[in-house]
Amino acid sequence: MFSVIRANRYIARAAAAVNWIAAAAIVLMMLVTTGDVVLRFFRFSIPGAYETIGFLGALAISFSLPYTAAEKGHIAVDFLVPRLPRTARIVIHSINSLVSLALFAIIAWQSLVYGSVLKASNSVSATLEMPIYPFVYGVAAGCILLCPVLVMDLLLRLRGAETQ
Amino acid sequence: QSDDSNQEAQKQSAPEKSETIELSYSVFFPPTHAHSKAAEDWARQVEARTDNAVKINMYPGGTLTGAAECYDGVVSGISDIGMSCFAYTRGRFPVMEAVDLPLGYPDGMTATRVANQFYQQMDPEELKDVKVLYLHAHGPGLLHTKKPVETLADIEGMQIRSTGLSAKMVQALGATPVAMPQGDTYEALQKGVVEGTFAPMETLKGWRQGDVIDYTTNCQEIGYTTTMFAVMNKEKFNQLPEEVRDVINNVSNEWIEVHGQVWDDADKEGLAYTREQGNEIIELSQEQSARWKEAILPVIDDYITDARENGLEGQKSVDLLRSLIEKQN
Amino acid sequence: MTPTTIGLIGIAALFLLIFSRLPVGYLMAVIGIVGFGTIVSFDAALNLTARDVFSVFSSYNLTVIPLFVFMGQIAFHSGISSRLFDAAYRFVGHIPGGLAIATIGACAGFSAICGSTNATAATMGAATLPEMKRYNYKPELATGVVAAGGSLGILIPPSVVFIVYGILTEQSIGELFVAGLLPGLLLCVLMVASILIWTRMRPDLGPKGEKFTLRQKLASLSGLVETLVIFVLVMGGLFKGIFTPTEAGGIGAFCTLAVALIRRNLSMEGFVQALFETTRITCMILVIVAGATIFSRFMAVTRIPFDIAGWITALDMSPAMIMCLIIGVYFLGGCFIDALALVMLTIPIFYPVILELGYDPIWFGVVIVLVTQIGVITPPVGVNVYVVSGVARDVPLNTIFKGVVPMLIAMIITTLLLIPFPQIALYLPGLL
Ligand code: NA
Ligand code: NA
Repeated sequence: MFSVIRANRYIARAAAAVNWIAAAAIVLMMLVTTGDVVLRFFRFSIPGAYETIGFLGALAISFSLPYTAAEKGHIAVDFLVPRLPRTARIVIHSINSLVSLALFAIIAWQSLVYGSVLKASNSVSATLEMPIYPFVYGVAAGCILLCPVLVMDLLLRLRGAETQ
Repeated sequence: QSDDSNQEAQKQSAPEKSETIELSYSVFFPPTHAHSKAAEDWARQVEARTDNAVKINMYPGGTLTGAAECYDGVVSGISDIGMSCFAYTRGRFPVMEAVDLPLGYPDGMTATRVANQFYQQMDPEELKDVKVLYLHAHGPGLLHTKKPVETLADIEGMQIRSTGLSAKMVQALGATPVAMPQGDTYEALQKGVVEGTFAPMETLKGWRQGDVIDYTTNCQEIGYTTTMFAVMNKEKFNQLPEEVRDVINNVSNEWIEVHGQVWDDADKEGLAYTREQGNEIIELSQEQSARWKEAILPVIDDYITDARENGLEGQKSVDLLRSLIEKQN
Repeated sequence: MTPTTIGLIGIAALFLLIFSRLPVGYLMAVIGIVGFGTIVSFDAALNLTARDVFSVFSSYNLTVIPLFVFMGQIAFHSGISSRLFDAAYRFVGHIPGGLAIATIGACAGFSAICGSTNATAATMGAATLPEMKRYNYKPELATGVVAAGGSLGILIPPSVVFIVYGILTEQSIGELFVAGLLPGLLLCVLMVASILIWTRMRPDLGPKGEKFTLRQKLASLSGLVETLVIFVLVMGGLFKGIFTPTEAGGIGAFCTLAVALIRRNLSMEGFVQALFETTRITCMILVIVAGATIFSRFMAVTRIPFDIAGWITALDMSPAMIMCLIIGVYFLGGCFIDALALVMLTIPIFYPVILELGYDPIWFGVVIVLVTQIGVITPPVGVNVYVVSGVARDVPLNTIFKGVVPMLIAMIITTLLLIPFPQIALYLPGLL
């Protein structure tokens, strides 16, 4: 038997697992910046530290998207909807889930397109000449992994369970 | 005679056109920058000469597409026209990259003319997905520092703000490159996060960096440039009526010299500004100049090797550029 | 439909749909995509979305946010911030709202060095909100103070908006920085006054604590030596220019972590929680920034900012009236558009008008910066309020917007004082 509640639990766990990539990126960012400054005292520097930190930032945000959504971490104006009747609430929540799903499906798809343009044109970073497209694919991956979280949200809403 | 009557006919038919053609123009320069104004003048000139059959809306300062997204933004139709630097998307323009090499450009007009002639002669594959209106390029990128630099020994180990190609130059000269956007350089120099920057004279006034440096080393013999493009969406251009296309082509040709002049004027103003601040210009000795040129050679050789690996004739590009620079002087 | 009409519909949609409980960042992105698509083309809008999302997510300047948030989270989970607040409580706890005043001071100090308002609000939020709660401060006071205090980073130098204004108008950035100092100080004083008046009217907001002896006060400082060392290292290094704000965040996080580990104050669970909270808060902030960026692109192609500017410029009115209208435009614009984008879009049009009317460009810069600072905490696009709401998850958004109102009054009074008394901004630069 397919249980939405159990499926939701697995997906939340998967989102937390993916979030470890984001967490690792933040620790790496901390180490690279600290290392760069310390080396600077000895008149060295980590080549390309600047662009590396930017790319690590992209990884951190992309792979925390599913976890943040699963944790209901995004800010919404929660002022009117809770005062509405139950049916209206379910309808509005379902529409919201569908709109969010459409938005992130579009961002994922467009990031894949953008990444393939960057790949085909051999676009590289300014100093390390590192290819950029893997990080754009990373954004796509984060958005794709977010979609099951949003689908679960929608299914739970339709079953009438309020997850607040 | 027939030309005149043609123009008559056009003027008469112009008011009948029910709709003006609206075009969007994304410029990465901030709106008050001289090149933003030059781009706007280009737009007003095109409007005037087409009897306002075309209306061009300007989006300066990256409000429509950012510097790195500008070119693809034109290809995909986010804006119809765009102006930005090739260097913001490294690897994407392997042939045009050669123009930016430290070949010793004497001034902005030369660099601008050379960039356009080089483009016309090479007609590179990488620019086939847009209509190139014109190119322009800044005067020689020089070394601006907080401490005087007269020899290669002085620059050794210094932290110099530079990106991409100039970062390679900084390394070749024995200094440490530190990358950051032009907009952050003021604060970094002021606070001493970096001890110098590679940039054309113009930035000393345009980005106010003259306030926070004390010396400029005139290393013109290794002066590099940054090539900028004004490109249009190809489909959009081909859909325009023929007379509009002609006007755009003609105005664009004239604007090569306009931008070249703007770069030279800006460099002169930058020089005057930095002198006002009491900053010193250091001229390299003949002997040092030769040494710097020698030190920088690996940057050019690297380009040629990389180009060869990508199936391009890098040596031919460099030779052509050298002869074009020579012809200008 | 003209682009202007589409733009107005977009603004109305944002105002209405913000109550739909769709996350604010998602909503701005969706309206931005639909609006841009209607005016330009949907192909272009979709392309733009992917590019903007990637350029915001990978922006070096925004990485200052996760690093400082991480530092704040470690400080919280290892008890450093509790010890700090216990000390602050012994010194100022007997004043009603004393801890809120101390928080304003901390925000001013932090933003004097860190250029990012979001990072200030997120760091200060993580460090101070749980502590003020511990001392029974009401959430509207605590969160309002942090959201407004975080916005001080725009006015107190170094400030990115001042740098951009200086470059656009060819004014000296140094003079602008100096011109921002007195108004910044005045604003801090007025915010403190706001807190004192508000807690006087409602003493339950920030309850008065007991008085401590000097010995007890000094004793509370003993556990803070390492914290003081980290603070001096990070802030001093930033101020002396040894590193950039992002690097300061990295070093601050590293040192705080090191101290917590050496003193054995941080458990493994605490570390993981700090890390996961950091990813969540960062993701939340950057999604809003990306949404606001896409929405600003849409506003740009509607050409509404240009139209309004042109319309005001053509009016036949007294200079003071035109000035008030311009300030009104920035105030309203700040509700919808990111501060930097607004300055970029409008300065080229308003600036010549200001000069013609005979206003001082440095003074105008300070006024613009103050008004855009207000925009950071006003709905619907009040990024700082969302940041604080993301940190204080148990506090409803409207409570924070309520808490921001007294601080908002202080900001408006400061702006209004600058109009008859331009010397507040111009006195210090005049001494240069
Ligand atoms: Na600041
Ligand atoms: Na706002």
